[in-house]
Amino acid sequence: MKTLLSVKNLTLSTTLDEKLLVDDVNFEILEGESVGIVGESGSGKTLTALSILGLLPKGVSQNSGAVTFQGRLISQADKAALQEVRGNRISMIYQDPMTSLNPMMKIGKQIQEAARAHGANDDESVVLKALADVGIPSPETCFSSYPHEFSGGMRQRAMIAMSLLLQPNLLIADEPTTALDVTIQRQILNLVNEQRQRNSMSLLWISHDLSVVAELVDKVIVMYAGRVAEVGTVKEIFERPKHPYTAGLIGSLVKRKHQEKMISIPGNPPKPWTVSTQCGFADRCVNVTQKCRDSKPELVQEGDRAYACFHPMNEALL
Amino acid sequence: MLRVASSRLRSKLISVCTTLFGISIFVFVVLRVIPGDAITSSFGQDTSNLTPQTIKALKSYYGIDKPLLLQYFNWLKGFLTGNLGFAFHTGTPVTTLTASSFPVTLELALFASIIGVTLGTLMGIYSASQPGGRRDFFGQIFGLFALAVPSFVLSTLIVAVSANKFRYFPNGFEYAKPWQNLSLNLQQMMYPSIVLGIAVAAPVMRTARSSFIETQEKDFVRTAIGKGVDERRVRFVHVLRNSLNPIVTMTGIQFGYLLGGAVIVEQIFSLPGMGRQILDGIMKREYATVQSSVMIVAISFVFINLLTDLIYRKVDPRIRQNED
Amino acid sequence: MKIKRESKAWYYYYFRSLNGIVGFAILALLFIGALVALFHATPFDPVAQDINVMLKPPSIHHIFGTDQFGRDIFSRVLDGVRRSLAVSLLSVAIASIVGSTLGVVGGYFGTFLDTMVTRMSDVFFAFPAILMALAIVSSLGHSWLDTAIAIGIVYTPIFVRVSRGPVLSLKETDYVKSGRVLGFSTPRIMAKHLLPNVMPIVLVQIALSLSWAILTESGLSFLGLGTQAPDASLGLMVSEAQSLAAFAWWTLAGPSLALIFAVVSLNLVGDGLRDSLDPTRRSI
Repeated sequence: MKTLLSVKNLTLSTTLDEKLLVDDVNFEILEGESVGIVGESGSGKTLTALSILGLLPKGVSQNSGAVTFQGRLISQADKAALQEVRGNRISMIYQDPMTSLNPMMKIGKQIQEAARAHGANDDESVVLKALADVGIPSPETCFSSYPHEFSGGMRQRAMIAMSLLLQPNLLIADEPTTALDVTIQRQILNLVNEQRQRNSMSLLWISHDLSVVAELVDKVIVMYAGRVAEVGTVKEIFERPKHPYTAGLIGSLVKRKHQEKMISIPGNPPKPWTVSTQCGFADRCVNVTQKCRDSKPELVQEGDRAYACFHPMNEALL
Repeated sequence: MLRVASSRLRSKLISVCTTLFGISIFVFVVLRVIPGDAITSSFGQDTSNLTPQTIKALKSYYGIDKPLLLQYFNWLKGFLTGNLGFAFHTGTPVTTLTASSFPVTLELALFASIIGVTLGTLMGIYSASQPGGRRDFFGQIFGLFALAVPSFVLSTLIVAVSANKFRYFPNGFEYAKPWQNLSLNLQQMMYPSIVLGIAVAAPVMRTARSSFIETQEKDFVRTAIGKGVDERRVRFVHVLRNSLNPIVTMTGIQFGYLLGGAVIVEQIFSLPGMGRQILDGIMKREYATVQSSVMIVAISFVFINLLTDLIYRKVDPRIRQNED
Repeated sequence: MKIKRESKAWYYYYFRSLNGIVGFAILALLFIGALVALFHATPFDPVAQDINVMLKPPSIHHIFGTDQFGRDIFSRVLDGVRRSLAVSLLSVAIASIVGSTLGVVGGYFGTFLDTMVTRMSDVFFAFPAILMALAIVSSLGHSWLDTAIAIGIVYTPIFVRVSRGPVLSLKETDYVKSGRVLGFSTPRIMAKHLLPNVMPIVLVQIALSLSWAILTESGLSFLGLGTQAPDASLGLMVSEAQSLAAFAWWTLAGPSLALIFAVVSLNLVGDGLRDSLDPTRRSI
């Protein structure tokens, strides 16, 4: 399968005082593949996702790194190319549908705008069909309504409709279900899965919840303190986690037969810039040695697997 | 719902009326504190030559012989029934005076506000497009000087340059009413509107800039960019529409201010507006003129506040919904 | 809560702000000029006429040129700056002291006194300041003291409003409540707890009000309601320049530049103060 998106050496820091936020992140997404990025808040997962489309907030800048899509480099330098890709070949949905939609514009108009921005068919009928496709009960009403007149779940559906309108090759989803009720979460998850399969679209799903990601994606990228900690298929990650952090995450999810109680990882994740010369997980790691504090572990590739650790876990957990 | 809306309206009306009432009393008191009265201001030195009978007659004619409280209530009664009193010296009803001077000020305030809000908003957008950057620097410099150059300095400058270099000074002619001579009227309004427009642009720009910067960081702007909408449309459709609220408020405030506060400019450009009317009234101790004119200005100000409120409701669908 | 030692550092930040530095520098220059005039050390006597040098453009002898009476414009400008600064300082001193006191007292005690003070302030806000100043000045007189009082009265309400705000929110804090419980007398609470928190906002407002006061004062003297001829006053000089500026630009330039710089510097100082006193705005 061909590579659809490739992110190489992505490094982000704060604009003003150059504090490191994301450190040398590398990953690939193949055509039709669905990938999940999992990490706690502050791990840099959202910023990584935003940098793909050049949507970094004001205080964050990209120090280095290259994002390649369909073989072409996309970056802030080539505004025209970037604009062509946005909403068209790569679409993104966000965590809070209330703030992510223009409160003073009717939903229908906002969706039409997505089509119009790329010279596609912006007929009302097209939009209505898109709204119906995502399971909105009365598309006409939704079309002429404002975002605040709808519930969170409906808004998220509308955003999904908007992002899928032009049948992008890749959908980036930044924790779109975190702000929703559990029941609605499930509906949205199913919806995205359905859409993905229908259009054989690639998916990049960002979440802090490993269990949610697990049922949605093929490949998991675990991020910690601004760096990639581990990469692998869902099965591999769950059965044979290499990075102690991943092991801890899984341990906290499931109570294994031989455990007495759920494991939680003591302590808090550090700010990326405070651990730029060492392993970020050192202070909370069961396998930690002096080496972990003196130098930074590089990402080791083993076929499709990768992990950045000097002392990876060796026993299988299952 | 209707009950809630009207009770809010009621309390607003009450507070508005109290304020207006307070203004009328304040003006009344200030005027009476002024030493001298209509008589001394018209006769000046010669007042001492007047016989006591003449003075008594004049006082009775001017209506200033009655006790203060009575004077106030007489005026108030008259005002509320549409009688704004009389200018002592000319005998002209204040209503007539105001009917000719208010439109002048209104026209000036309107032009100045339009120029000011357009200039201020555009400069605000320009500045906000690169916060802290080069555009912002130049934008802020503009804002600073628009604020710092006094209107009378700018006016004098414009008049001097225009008269000297171009031999063009339309305000040297008698004021032309719009329906009499539209061309001359617009020419006469041009310079004063520009001067006041720049003065209005300064606070509007500051408001617009900060409103823009705040809106630009909002999530929905990110969504629009992420959809592939071009920068210009993002700026003028998404950001602008959602930044209007404070800009509308500020424009309303500036407009109201111009109704009474354009005195100096009206004086320089010989525009017979409300500012001049009030100034003359103060100088000549024309109590009724000042009292009533100030009240008209204050009432207009209130009216503009209400108008601004209405504009909000039209512009922001969220407020509209809460009212229904 | 503001701790005493933290508030000591504000001027450290002030001189980190570009606005603050530039504003302060220009203001310092103006002050020096005013002092020069105060001690009668100007190159020429501001009111001395000399028919031999009427309306001469700027030269080495008369760096701002001369006016229609042969008076040195530079010396007159310095004297005018002195007057403008004096009137503004006095008026804003009155306004800030009276206004802040009313605001703090009204905000703290609440009830009828507070309502009355706020209502009256609202009345003032409905008015263009220049009209009010006009009215008061025409009743008081034209001396600089009268002008200062007039402008002071006009700008008192803004200080009432500005100082009342923080007091309203502060008086409900545990910090103040515990002071009361401990039996601190009201003046002590006001001085030690309320004032240091109201101070920064009032300081910024003082800088801004000074700039408005200069504009109002010069506006009044432009209209002939302030300093009378032959004394030098910036507004008056601009007024006289109306008929002269077309062919003697320097008669307008001198006083105008002084006014512009005064207002600009005060605004920059106000910005600098705002930047240094509000922790969220500091760029470092």
